[in-house]
Amino acid sequence: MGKWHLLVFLTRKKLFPCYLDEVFKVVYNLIIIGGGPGGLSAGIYAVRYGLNTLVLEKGFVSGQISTTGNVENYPGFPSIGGMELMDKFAEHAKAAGVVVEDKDVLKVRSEGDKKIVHTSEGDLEASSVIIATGAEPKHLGIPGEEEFRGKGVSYCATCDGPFFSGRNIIVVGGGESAITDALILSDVAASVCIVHRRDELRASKILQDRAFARSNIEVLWDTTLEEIVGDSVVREAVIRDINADEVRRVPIDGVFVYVGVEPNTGFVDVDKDEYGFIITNERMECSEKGIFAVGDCRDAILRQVITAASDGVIAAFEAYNYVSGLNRNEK
Amino acid sequence: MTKVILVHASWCHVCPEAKKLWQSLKEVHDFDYDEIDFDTPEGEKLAEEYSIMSVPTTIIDGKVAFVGVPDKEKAVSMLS
Repeated sequence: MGKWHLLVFLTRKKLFPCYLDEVFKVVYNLIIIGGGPGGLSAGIYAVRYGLNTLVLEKGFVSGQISTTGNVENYPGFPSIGGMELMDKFAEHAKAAGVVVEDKDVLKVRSEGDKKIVHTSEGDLEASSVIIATGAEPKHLGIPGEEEFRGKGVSYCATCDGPFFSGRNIIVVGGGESAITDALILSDVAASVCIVHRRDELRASKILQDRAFARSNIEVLWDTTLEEIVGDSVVREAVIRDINADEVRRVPIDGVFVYVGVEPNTGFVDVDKDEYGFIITNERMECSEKGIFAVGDCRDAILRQVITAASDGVIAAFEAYNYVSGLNRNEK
Repeated sequence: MTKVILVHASWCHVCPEAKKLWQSLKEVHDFDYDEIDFDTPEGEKLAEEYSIMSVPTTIIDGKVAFVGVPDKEKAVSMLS
């Protein structure tokens, strides 16, 4: 009787003793941590390369893009909801045979050529790992921000915009996300005031043009938000004019924050930049052999769905080469 | 018994994820669970009572416990 026949027999008889866990332990060719656009693109390609692949996704929301109202810059989809696009990624991955499991990864470490992935439900082993854990919206860290979260302070216009119908809102930031959401909010709010610490926006020109054309959007240049004040909900914002070094209080109903992202990379010990983004080369390789990083969690110049997907494809190809190399060495 | 109320809305993209989370926890933990649509008289009443200006919001035993999709581990810890 082969070991797999024995496994089936013991499982059917409910006689599977715990010490046999080791005998039948699966060593994956590749474990991908994160099920956003980067992770699932890597998964699709890895499966097509014939790698025994597992994707681990902690949260129920896969990818930051899920919280975006409309995506207009992913080729093939002139305009599509963020969640809908993510659902299409998941559908495609499932059809390709990518297996996704809901597990919280606590740590990743190397043990010789093996990568050990510690999860909340036990350890997993793989020959290679792709980190695709993305990033979370960064908070301002100013007084009132945490206190009024959900009571006027928000990080998601598509989720919370309708609560601010006919009200006055501040949007903090000047990048792609800030201006996209300022436009969404201007459809429902009485006024949207963009508070930006520089004298020019970083968002794409098409978004800037749309924002400047809206009569209820105003930009306060060289300005920072210092404090959010209220009682049971937000009532006022304290803003500083950097050039004049003057502080004033503005009556306000809501504050939407878009000041960048923080990477989810604390669980892996590889070289990172000062902000925690994983440093990779153009092949998505990290400082540790056999570990790759893709998408928003790496030190990329752009953090878009398409760049995350592209990173994922490159990393899957390199993981395939790496695993093939290991297998050749073993022979 | 712990009482969990999820306030959600039809226009909220991430609310289905919060629902999935609580429904999956309901399968393995024993607690009372209700989903209330913000755009109903009951939802509006809850929003006023708890000053809700964000969805999904989870109320546990009469207090706002989570704004946004809860972290699974933290959600589980609130049930024990």
